[in-house]
Amino acid sequence: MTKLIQLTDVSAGYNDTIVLRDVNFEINDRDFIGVIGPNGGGKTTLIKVLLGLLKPARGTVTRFDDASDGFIGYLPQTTQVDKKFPITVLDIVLSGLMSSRGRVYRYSRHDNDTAHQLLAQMGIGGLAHRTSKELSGGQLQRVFICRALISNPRLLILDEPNTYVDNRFESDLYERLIELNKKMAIIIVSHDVGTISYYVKTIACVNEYLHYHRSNIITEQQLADYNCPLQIITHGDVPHTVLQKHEHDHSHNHESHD
Amino acid sequence: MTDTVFELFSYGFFRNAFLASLLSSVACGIIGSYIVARRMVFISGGITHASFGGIGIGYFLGINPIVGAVIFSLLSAFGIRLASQRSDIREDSAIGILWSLGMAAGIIFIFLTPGYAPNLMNFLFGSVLTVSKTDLWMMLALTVLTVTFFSAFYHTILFISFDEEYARSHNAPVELFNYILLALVALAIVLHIRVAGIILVISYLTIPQTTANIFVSDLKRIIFLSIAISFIGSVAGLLISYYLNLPSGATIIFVFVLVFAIAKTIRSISQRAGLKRAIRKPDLPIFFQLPVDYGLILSYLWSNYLFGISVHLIQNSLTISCIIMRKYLLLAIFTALSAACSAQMMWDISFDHGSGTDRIILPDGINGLWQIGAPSKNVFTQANSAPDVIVTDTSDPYPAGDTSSFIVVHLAQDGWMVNYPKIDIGGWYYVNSDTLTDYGFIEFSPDKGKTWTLVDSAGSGCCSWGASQEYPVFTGNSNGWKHFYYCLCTTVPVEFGDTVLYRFTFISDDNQTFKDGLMFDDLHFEDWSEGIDDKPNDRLINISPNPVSEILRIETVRKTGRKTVQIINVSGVVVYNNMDFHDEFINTGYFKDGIYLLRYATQEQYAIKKFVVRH
Repeated sequence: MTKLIQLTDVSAGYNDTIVLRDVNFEINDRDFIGVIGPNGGGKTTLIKVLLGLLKPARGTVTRFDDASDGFIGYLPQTTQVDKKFPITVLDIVLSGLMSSRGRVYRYSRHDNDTAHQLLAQMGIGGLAHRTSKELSGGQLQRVFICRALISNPRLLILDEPNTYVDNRFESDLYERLIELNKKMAIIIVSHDVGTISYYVKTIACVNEYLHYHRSNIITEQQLADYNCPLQIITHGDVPHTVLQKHEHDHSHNHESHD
Repeated sequence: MTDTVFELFSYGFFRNAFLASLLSSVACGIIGSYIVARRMVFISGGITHASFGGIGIGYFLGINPIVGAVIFSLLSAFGIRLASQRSDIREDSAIGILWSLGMAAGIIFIFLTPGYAPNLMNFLFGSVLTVSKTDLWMMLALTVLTVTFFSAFYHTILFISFDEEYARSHNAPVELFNYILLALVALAIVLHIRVAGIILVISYLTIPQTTANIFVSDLKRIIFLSIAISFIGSVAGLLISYYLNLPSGATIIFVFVLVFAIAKTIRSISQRAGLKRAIRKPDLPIFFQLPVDYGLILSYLWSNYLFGISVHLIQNSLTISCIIMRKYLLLAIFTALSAACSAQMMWDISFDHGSGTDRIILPDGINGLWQIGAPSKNVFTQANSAPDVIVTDTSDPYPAGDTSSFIVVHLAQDGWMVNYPKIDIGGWYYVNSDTLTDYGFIEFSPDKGKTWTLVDSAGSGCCSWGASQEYPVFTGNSNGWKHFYYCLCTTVPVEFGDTVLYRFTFISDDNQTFKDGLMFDDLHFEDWSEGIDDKPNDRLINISPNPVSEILRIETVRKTGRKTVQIINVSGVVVYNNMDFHDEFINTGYFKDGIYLLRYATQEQYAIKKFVVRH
């Protein structure tokens, strides 16, 4: 398997506070990793280290970058942007090509076509010339997914993608992610362990330390052993049994929860 | 007043103003759109006011105040950013600190500057009609720089502005771009201070852009539309201000706000119509969608402009802005601060094109030596500020045996505290007389002409804040224009409504030596006040008939409030003084034939009219 990113003995944090300690973690091609953990446990910090937004205090981050358009596609939490910023949907999607097109690049017809196709695939093809303030939270989330995908990334990182999304689109999204996983590695951050464990291949539990669980079946006992107490674990009726029952059942029908 | 628009273009000042409007529309259209899109209105306000410190230091060091302002605005812009990034100070607090620090530094340095600060009012209120060639070249350079930068890096700027963190995850040079853009914002603000003034410059950067944002909501379109709105608005405002004889900066801003209001109305009407046509989920009425910044900035400008008109209204609009958001309570303080810094009452006479001459009493008849005009004598060939000066005869040598004087009426606001009255006089003089027996002198009278004091004996030496006097020698040959400046002590308190008279005299002995005499230009008078200025308003009253024999009629629209009327004769003696004037008529039957000056004042405004009594 091709290695994409390797973290070796990484510790990271802000100011004087260390949030992540001694993390050894490697991401390979076609991985589908669910990152879970309590709020404040360091999930977002881990993402920032992977993206290169935060320099680790100790340890090394190695990216096995190749010449693809954009190595990492990234879906941030929508709450971070100013929704009233005057920008069109098309421009938001094109901004996913920022690193490969240079600073003075004018976007080509081919780039525009790719963006339109992606928007159509996400079911929002008619919104290309709308501006961000005219979109609902869920629509904006889909626009951001298009932005993450337009560069054909080797690794897709999604930070809490279910925040603004309605249930129906959420299951659509996960089905699409399984499709995408055939071409790229995916890291999905969530504190909703119940939902993501249906789809992911492996689970990384982050609570200051990182425990990598090489399966998508995780028991409460294991969570406790990993020192990974989850605040939101009540997806479904009896979470821990649900977690154990479902193996790599990607075609699992979610209707019972809708 | 009857010039057509095309004739206006034959005036150099109007062509300059037109070019300045064009350049500022482009630069402010681009940079203002960026400011509005990134919600940087408050930081821009901070940079604007902080640059006032640079203007003060510029005056103090004797360098071009704009250079000081450029340095201060860049430092404050970067300071605000660094303070909020590298320390625990939140951005709006950092803005508040630098905003007020800049203003305070400006006020202190202007106080410390010896003499006076010419054009200070231009920096506070702006004057598009007096932009110089240098200003235009600097604006052109900024416009070219801005257009080049934005057209080359438009998408990078857009993406970084929309989502900094995402841009950073794509290795975009976010910090570099933010600093370059912040520097452009600072430069745009400083260069447009000359056009719009510190108090109003933010309007060029926000109102056209907000108006454009009503119709389009893509950064590129906002830029183009706001350039168009800004250009049409400023040229329309310029013409209106010319034909109605109003201050250009404030008129342009009223046009901007008017266009904004019309646009908003059109938009809500068409939206409502659109709603009826298409049944869809109604949006909030657009007024409620306005980000707080816009409403704030409008009320801020509103309050800033009104402080010259009415204190009462300021308080209302400030209250509104406080209600809008509590953290903008700061704004109330800053508005008060900007009002305070113009509380220093001063005025200048340049003698050019009749400016300020309504407050001068020239003796006529046999002693009519002092004349206002362009000097064309042997030695006196150039004004200090072209074209006109006041001089002992504009063309011929001064005569022998002369003792004529002219009087300047200064209208005091409030003395600087009752027990510490302080009045200043300064200006430029040029002397060319034969012996020490031909000489000039200046006297002043704080008590309406009862007593006169020579400025350079008992009167002088009351400087505060380290200001230093410059003593003139009004005899012999000065070989050029020289500056003089006195701080005067008064024996009686100078308070609001008082009149300080200055008498300028030139004495010649009986030897005719065909020298040029004495001339003055750019005289400057001030006293120190703690309140809001009152405003000159020529339309406050009408007097008739003129010349008058028996009954002088004063027509006014103001019917209520305290009014004072004083009449001064050519010798500076107050011949009529009524501190509580209610009538409409004044009996001039007992006045001697001659020229008189009538000062009519309400609490907020005053007018001065010259009239002639002829029996």
